[in-house]
Amino acid sequence: MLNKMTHRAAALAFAAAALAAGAAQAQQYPSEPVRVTVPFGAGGGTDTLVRTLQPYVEAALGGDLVVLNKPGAGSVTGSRAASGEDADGYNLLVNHATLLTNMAVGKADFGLDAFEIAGSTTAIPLVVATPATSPINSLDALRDALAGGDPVIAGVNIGAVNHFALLMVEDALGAGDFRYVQTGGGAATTAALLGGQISVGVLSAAEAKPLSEAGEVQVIAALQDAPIDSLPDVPTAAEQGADVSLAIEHTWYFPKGTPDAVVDRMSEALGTAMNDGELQQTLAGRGMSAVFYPAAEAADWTAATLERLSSVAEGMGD
Amino acid sequence: MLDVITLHSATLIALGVFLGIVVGAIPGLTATMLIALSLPFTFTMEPIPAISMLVGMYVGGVSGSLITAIVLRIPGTPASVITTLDGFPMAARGEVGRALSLGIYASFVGGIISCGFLVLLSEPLSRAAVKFSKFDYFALVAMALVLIVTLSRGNMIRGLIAGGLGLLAAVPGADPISGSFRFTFGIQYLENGLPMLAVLVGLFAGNQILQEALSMGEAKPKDTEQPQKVRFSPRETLAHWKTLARCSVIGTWVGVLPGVGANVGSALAYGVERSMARDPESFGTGSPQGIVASETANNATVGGALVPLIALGIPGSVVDAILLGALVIHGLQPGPFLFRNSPDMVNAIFSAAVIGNVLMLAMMLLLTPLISRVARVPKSILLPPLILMCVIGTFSISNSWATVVVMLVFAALGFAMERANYPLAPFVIGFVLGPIAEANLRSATMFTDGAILPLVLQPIPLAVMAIIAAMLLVNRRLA
Repeated sequence: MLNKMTHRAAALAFAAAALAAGAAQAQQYPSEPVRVTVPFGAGGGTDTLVRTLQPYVEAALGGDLVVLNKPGAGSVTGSRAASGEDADGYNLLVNHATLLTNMAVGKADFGLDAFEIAGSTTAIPLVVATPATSPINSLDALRDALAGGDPVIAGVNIGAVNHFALLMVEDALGAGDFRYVQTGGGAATTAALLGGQISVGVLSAAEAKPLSEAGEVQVIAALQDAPIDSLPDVPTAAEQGADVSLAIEHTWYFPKGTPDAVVDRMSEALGTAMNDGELQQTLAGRGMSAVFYPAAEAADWTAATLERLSSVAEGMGD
Repeated sequence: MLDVITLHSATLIALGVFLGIVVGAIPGLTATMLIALSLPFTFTMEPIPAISMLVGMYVGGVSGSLITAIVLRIPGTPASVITTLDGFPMAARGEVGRALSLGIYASFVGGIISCGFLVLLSEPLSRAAVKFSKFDYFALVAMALVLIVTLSRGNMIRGLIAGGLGLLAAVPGADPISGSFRFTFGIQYLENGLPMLAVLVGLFAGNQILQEALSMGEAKPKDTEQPQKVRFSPRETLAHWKTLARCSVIGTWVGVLPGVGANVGSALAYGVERSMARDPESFGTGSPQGIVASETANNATVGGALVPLIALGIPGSVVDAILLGALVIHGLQPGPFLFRNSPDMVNAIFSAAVIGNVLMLAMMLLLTPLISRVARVPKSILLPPLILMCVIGTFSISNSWATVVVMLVFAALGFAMERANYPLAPFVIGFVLGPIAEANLRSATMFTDGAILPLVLQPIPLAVMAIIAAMLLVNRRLA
């Protein structure tokens, strides 16, 4: 109770001070540990990433981060809880494109207007993959297969990023519809590809690389504008006439109403952290790009992505 | 093979096994949580000791839960729910030591045999596993679901009602296919479904504590056995060598299949053994074969689940997904090249699994005489810490009191069901296996655009359906 009151008092004092002195006061932030909600389980990909970034962000910020796992309902549970926390600068949420797909399909009963975005760090590039022996070895071949009339089975996690990616590919190819089946996330989709159960699926570059080198799957398109560093020989979708670009970025969200000075300070700290050579090397080793978008850019980019995903979601019922 | 394990690693494996046994024995805490929470501590460790320790935790965690399952009828984790069916009745008639001995040696044999499969056959096994279609999965889980019927013997209607209630309790939450929320009645907490661990801790631990507390005034039947004098001998377990062999194979295979784990393994093995047993009517009343079946199979799933992780880089269970993350963090690339690029690490995982099982056996044998005395501790001393453990365990599932409330509600439900002679086991089978069956069947029909006929036209599901029919016939003969 006492804690909550001092918390509020601190927030009020902070807001007043911020009005008066602006950025100068932001130098005093943070005066207590910043809670970072990870809306996924401990030990998962997002959790591991945040804990990897943690020491670098702490050093840049000059304060401690405390990671809290609040898994559930495809990240909706933790994200909703985080959106309702005090907007005092001591509550952060890290989520990736899943938050946007949840908003696009209406699974999340809140929107981007519930948050202030502090920045986007790291992106996991996505690729389109087919079984090793499949005749579908390019997007052209995929277009032909779709036009051929036989069902092309796409293994996805319905309503999640890998589903949206293929909906966008389907839309761009304009030759016919996939038959979507529920396989799940990366691991389940990998198993289904190796077993030849599905004709096509979307994997992260890190998942696809060893399988592709071992000749276990064919990687037919990179879903980003430039070739992926770890898979330089894979042509982009755009090169093959399908302008699709979608990656799993990790964005840091404050609750709405968090003072601008704090958001800017966090954005700056994230930028400093992502600039660290050692961290960049670690991330590259895990197949991630150490990209960084500061607050304003990340906000624009996130809004644009949500808009695109929402228009894809509208077409889903067709 | 063992030369990659240094004394340092071995110490960490021992630590991992010990911690695993402890959290496994505490209702509501599982190896999954332990490993997830330990992961950040391994960031700064060398890769081989780090992974070895995590594997040790995995082996210990699936084993520790048999202790409380047998002694107190409180399964520490879902994997040993089936063990309570025969373990507790045997313990209740004074043979605590015998029940524990059967369970511990069966765990060890199951664990070691599955390690054998892991070391020798991981490549072909994982190739076969990825060929398994969604219809095959559904048929396999359906076979385990038949336990609802076989466990309801003598009281079919009540058993089916309990099983049906279990299925219903698993319905609220996110739809397994579309992810949209169903039957949440506007309650945000239900969007994630009822947490399995809280339901199980409530039904078994909470309910058992209630019953014990209410019967505290009653005279307690004298134990016929002095637990400290019990000699643990592998002889009786080994006499069930056919069961050990069959259940090791079943457990390993269920473990190899991505997405199904120890819960399915023990239920399936128990059902199969019961229908093959000479005296199936003894199952559920303290049958040694029942204890051996469940504990062999649930430990065998551990080695099995490591198979696709090592051979193909596909995690077979949640724990394996975390192990995969750990490999990546330590700069190793899981996948078909792990064998070629990091043979040391592969050997370390093999060794850790084998050493972990040996250490598990040693520790369990050392600890159990002590633990089996727990059954003789006066209830007024035993119950308060148990209640505390249940509350802490369930609270820690999602850091919320709502989960503790769920546990309490199911404690009351379990208590009421048993008072009214409704069996708990069918409820649990329905609750745990229902969603897996649903997800696989619905996914399967997406492949076929709605057609369900492959279930009886494809060879594997057809064969499994025939076995199910045979199991039901055995049951009918008994009824």
